[in-house]
Amino acid sequence: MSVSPSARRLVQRVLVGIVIPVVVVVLWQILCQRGVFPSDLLPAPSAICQAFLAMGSNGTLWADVDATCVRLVLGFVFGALAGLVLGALVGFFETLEWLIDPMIQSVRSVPSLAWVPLFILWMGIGEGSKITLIAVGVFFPVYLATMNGIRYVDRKLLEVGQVFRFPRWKLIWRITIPSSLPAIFTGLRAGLGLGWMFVVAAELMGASQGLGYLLETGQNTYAPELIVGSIVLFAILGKVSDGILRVLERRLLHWHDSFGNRETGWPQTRGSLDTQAPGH
Amino acid sequence: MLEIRELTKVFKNGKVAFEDISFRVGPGDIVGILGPSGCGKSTLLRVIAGLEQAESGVVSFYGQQAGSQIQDAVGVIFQEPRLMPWLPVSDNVSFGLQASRKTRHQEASAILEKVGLRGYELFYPRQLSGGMAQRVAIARALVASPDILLLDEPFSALDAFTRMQLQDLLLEIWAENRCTLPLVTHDIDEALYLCNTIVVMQGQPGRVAEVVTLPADRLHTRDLESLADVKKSIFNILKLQGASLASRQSRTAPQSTGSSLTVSEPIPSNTTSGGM
Ligand SMILES: Nc1ncnc2c1ncn2[C@@H]1O[C@H](COP(=O)(O)OP(=O)(O)OP(=O)(O)O)[C@@H](O)[C@H]1O
Ligand SMILES: [Mg+2]
Repeated sequence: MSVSPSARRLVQRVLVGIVIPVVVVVLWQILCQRGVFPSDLLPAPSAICQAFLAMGSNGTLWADVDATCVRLVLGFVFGALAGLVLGALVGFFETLEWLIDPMIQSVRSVPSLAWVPLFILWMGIGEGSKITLIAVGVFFPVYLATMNGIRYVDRKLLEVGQVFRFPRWKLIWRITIPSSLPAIFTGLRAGLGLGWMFVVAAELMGASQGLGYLLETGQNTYAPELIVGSIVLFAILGKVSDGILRVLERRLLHWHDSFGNRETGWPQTRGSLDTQAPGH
Repeated sequence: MLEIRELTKVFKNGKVAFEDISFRVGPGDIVGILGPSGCGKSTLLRVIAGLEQAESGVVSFYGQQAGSQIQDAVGVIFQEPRLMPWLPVSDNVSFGLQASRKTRHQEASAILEKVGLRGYELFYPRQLSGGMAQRVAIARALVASPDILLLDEPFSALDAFTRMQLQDLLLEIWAENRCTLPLVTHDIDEALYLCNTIVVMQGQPGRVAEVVTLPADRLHTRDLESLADVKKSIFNILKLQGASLASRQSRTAPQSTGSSLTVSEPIPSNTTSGGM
């Protein structure tokens, strides 16, 4: 009874969201036990769990998860920072746009994996080349979103500040930046998604730790439970990291008109709004 | 107080928004700028506000020619509320204030009370109705206590009832502060109700067709019966102008001898006080 409507809605959503995964896993388990899938190609969920529980209890799993997450976070931070700074500069200054943007756009059209040999040549197969590769992946969506968010700020809102005779820095700080935050967040989330892609690429390229390394080990030692388990772990970690960004976004952008509609494309009624009444 | 002389605005693409506009606004006047869509009313207001530069001509405040800067004492209420969607109502109202957080809040609350929005301080723009949002915009302009408040069709997007409420609110505020209000509108009734002088614009590019001064004993009344004669004459100007500019000149010439296309002084009262 004491649960707030929005919390109840969240629980509802989560419950509905796990229906299909649960059904799939149960079916999968049953089919594996009946021998429909050959266990050397697709192990049963229980077998995967066992293998990962064993790795979890002797600690190697955490080292792998940890290595992957550290790479991702570092790559994300560097890539996102570069994207934010350059995107903002290019968004603000037209001359810089002419100067830098054509170059960045042409670099963008290079398939990012093509950088791998170069980075390995420059930095070896250590952490440096991996983090750089991830950062490159994160950079472009963040750069594009920041640049567009800042460049296409509503002129009508800027005029409100001009009428109050705001100096330029104040126009930027109080109008341009807040109004481009939604676009920037969209870019950050896209960048994070690409970051996960590149973390796998970087780890497949030669690593002694990490989930990508686990994938490769699984392939080389004919251990499908390692491969499938790693894939599931990637899915979980990706979802969790995106969830963190989404919570941040919800905090910062709750004012946004289309917020909450963006994911589904359908208008929703939001519990927190329905219950709000003017105070007196 | 505010004087506009031979003002012409040409856009970059060569389109002339208005030309040779001249009129004068006294302190505490509510001057309606009335004209059909596209005759350059909004642009004229933007030039006065300093948001755009004129091609030629002069805008002067208190006898001083305005440069390319936005004037200190000028506030603007736009056609749309233009609220910052990321700020709650109270922060939107105090958007232009430079003061401590506490003073800002106090001033915002005081003004919100005046526009009838007490209790809505923490609401976000998307949670407001159109009329409420426009009231917030009015509050935001008032909080800086401008001497001249430029209004660009501030009520045109609202329903008739809300519009009447806000018109009365504007008059209340004006009675309190006696600020000068140049008001763009395309609603003759609104101009007749709110204004003491009406600048009628016509044509594309827009020109001043007539400056009508309302009789002092018929200001701010919704009883349009008593203003029927004035309304009719404005209506005639707008209608005739639409048909042919030349014929209007010849038709009105005998009536108001001194009137030309650019009226720099309010026309005494040939057209307006005919019924008196
Ligand atoms: N930035 C611009 N560049 C070129 N032409 C413009 C620009 N802004 C407005 N115009 C033109 O100038 C003319 C006057 O526009 P303005 O917005 O001032 O009209 P208005 O009298 O306010 O009309 P409404 O009553 O519909 O608001 C219009 O014909 C419009 O097409
Ligand atoms: Mg207009």
